[in-house]
Amino acid sequence: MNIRCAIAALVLSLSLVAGLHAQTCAAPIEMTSQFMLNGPHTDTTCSHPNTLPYLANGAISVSGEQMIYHIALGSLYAGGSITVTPAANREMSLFVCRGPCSTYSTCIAAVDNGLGVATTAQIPAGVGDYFVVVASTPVTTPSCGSYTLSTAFFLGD
Amino acid sequence: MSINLLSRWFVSAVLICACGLVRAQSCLPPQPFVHSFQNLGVAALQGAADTPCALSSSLNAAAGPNAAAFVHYRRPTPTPSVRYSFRMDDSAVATSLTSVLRNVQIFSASASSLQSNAGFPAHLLLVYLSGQASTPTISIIVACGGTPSKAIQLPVALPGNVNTLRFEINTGSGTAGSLRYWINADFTDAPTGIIDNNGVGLDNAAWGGVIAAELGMSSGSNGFRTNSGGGAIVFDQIQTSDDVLFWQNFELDQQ
Repeated sequence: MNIRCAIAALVLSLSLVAGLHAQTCAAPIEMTSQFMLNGPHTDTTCSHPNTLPYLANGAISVSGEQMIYHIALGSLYAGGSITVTPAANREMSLFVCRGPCSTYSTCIAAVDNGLGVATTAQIPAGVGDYFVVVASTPVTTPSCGSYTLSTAFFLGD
Repeated sequence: MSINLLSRWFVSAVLICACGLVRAQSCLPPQPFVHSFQNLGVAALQGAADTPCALSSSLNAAAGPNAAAFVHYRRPTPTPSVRYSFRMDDSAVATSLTSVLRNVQIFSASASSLQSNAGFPAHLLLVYLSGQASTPTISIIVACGGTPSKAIQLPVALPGNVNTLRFEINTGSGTAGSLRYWINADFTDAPTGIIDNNGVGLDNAAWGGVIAAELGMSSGSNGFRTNSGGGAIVFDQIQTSDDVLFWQNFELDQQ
């Protein structure tokens, strides 16, 4: 029987193991599961490159500035979500893709809810290794801006 | 025959029968484009049983910029030369394709080596469907090396709403790199056109080769999504010279 933790939604800290502004496939920002340690993570896409100009098997053009994260999920992980909330006057896309980190990796989420609107990607339960891309959607000038990234993950046993 | 062996035989026989039943009710997926991706759109394989499937691809009306609906595959290793062909029926979206600003990607061949400083970093070939006055047009975009590298884009007006498009991608240094294409003609015919940087060659060896390809709609412009959302493009007679079979790790991607 799969018993979920008493606290359903666990906010995972986004521990910046690889350095605050690492944002490449080779050195993504690691998202580690230290419950309630740092809370949601705020950052900006400004001054960051367009590392992956296409995503989702090379099909979806992603021309804005990007931040790249990495998360490895273990067998106890029972499902959850990642949410990006852009600044009010900015639009952000959120991609969750399976490794290897490249333009032709297959994504399980490619979401964008519009200007200033939070966007959530669902992450399926079980072992998984994903790279997560927060990308400015170039509908404003400049397109880059600040955002908050938060996670709500569940554990089973 | 041991009981264990007998039971294995029985299970195998059941599985074979089950596969036969499934296939008997389904059209044949367009090998090797056996995986689909749908995000705010629909990529539907359709057709009579045991006949090659057609792909109906559509983006939801008023969908966002990441809307996509396509089939795809990935190779374990890149190939330097490969052919693709398909027939495309754009009747359902053609009337709204009245501007070059209304465009949608319909095919791509991804490069194995990302050229981060290149003007066209991730692909060897992209094909867009767009408006051009009142005539639907495809834009063929290829990677071209040199200093600086660049993308070469060629608009080709389509003679009708149902057209057979064929592409041959060649990756290599200098003149070994080229893109040949045929519109409503066979590979055995003279190509409709050749993109080779005016005879100098595409010099596209740095891109490595084709590692993946996808067919269907994605990266629709705002104008396309606003005005053509919901309309389907139908692709059939999907063929390729790429005879790559399932990559053993491919299933782990849970396409």
